[in-house]
Amino acid sequence: MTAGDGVYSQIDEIHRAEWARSVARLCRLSGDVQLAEDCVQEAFVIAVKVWERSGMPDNPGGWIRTVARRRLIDFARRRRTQVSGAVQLLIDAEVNSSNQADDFDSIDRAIDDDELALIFLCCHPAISVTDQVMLTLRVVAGMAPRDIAHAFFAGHEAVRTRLLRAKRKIKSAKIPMGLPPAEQLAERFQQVQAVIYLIFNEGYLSNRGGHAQRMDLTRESIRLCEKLLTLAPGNQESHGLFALLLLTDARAPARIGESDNELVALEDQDRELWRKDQIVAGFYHLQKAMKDKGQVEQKGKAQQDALGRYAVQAAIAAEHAKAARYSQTNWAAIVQWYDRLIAIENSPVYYLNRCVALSFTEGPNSALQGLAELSQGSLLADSYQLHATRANLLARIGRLKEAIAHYHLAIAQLDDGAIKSFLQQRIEQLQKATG
Amino acid sequence: MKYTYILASEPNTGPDVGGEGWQDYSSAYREWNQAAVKAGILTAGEPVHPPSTATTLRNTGGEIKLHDGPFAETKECIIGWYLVECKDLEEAIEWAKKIPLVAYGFGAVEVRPVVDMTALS
Repeated sequence: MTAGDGVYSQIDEIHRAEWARSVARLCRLSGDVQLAEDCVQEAFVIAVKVWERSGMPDNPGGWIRTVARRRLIDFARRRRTQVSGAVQLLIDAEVNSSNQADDFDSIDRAIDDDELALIFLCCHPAISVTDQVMLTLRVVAGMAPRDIAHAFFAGHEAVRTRLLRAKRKIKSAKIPMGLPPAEQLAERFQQVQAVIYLIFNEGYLSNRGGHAQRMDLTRESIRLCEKLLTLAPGNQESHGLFALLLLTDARAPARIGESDNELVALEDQDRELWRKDQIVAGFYHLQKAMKDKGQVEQKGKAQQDALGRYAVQAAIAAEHAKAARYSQTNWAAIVQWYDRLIAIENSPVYYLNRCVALSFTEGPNSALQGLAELSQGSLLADSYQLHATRANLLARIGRLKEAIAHYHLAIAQLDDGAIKSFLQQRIEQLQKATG
Repeated sequence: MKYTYILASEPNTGPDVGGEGWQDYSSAYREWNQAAVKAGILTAGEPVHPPSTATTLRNTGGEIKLHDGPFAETKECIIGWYLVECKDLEEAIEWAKKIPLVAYGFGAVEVRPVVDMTALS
């Protein structure tokens, strides 16, 4: 094996590990996300060429950041007026880092802080949520704009333009890069978690492009959440979110059928295929999310929101993971978790799912009565979710013709994709049963 | 870093001058102004007359034409502006949140960074 082979096989891994850290560092120095990205990008291009010839350095991340910083200094010198403040900082930084007696731990910690600050910057509330998602994928996860466009079924140019505009706003409006003040910290963490959750759902509930799940997005969201936990281990709801993502994604091998575009219902999944390591990790993080919260909640309803929404959803996913077979699912516990979830946020989606769980404890008829409430004026009133759930309940009590009619109503709301073909299969099964 | 606050609201949302709630509302503005001056962030600011008093100039085909009214007919209209000097957008947003128009829920404030002309030259 030549040095070159080594470089190519390792560069992806190094890119993944060092991209955000390097952009964060450069962004802290320059206050310009685009410039930081460009310098780091160039550093990687140079790295491949140099490493191919002379082999991998001991500290590739440090190497990348040093080269990127030099690019930034070059740039700053060329345009002194614009970044004169940064120049001085850089020269100071240069002096400090040339002192090799450096305390590497403290440098690492500083970069950790920068990286966390970069995540908060990308998820700043002054930026639209869609742009927060794209910026986070580009700047923090290091995803190429082309791949982001692909994942969101958007044009490459459109994504590039969006990203540029968002980065320009950060620079021109001077959205600060730093840790939010203490009084805003909880809210800002929620925003970061919401962005990660959105990325996960975009992948997990993908109903487009011939993929029932976009693994690129679910994988990135899990990595992002892990990064958030590493950088800020104190936030319990991040553990809850991580548990939710791990426990949900653990089912992926059983949830996707023979073709990429085929969904398998929870009841029909081969649970042997669930990823056990992810389930174990999920339980671990769920426990962390719940630590010291159990006692508080027994004191009364007022404290019920002490557990976050992601932790509660993770607890529901955990109930499924605990059941060796579908028939062993503890639906009563799941109904209670949904009550808790609805107490946190009264969303019709949670209510719908509670009805499903209720259909296993009190029977499909009471669940159908519950659904009636959603048919009027709720956000889900004419949604495929409501129609399909109703169809499923009707089928279970033998009202097959009505069930078929409701599956058709559901399909009418859907574009072609995995969910639609899944429901079409249901109709075919029912049609066979009715003869 | 300089920012402008552009204040806008729908007609007849706030209290009428001298009417119910006016005193409270106008003293809230006085307090905000004083606090902003004291903190050293407020450079200038004025309320403006309603859009019915506006005249808009537009150059169409080399000829400057006058239009009796604001830029665009929208529900919300500009009712005033401030010029402030803040550390960054976050500080600018914190001050903007406290402007009575927003704090009382009578309208919206748009925060716009001001172009630094010295950096352009």
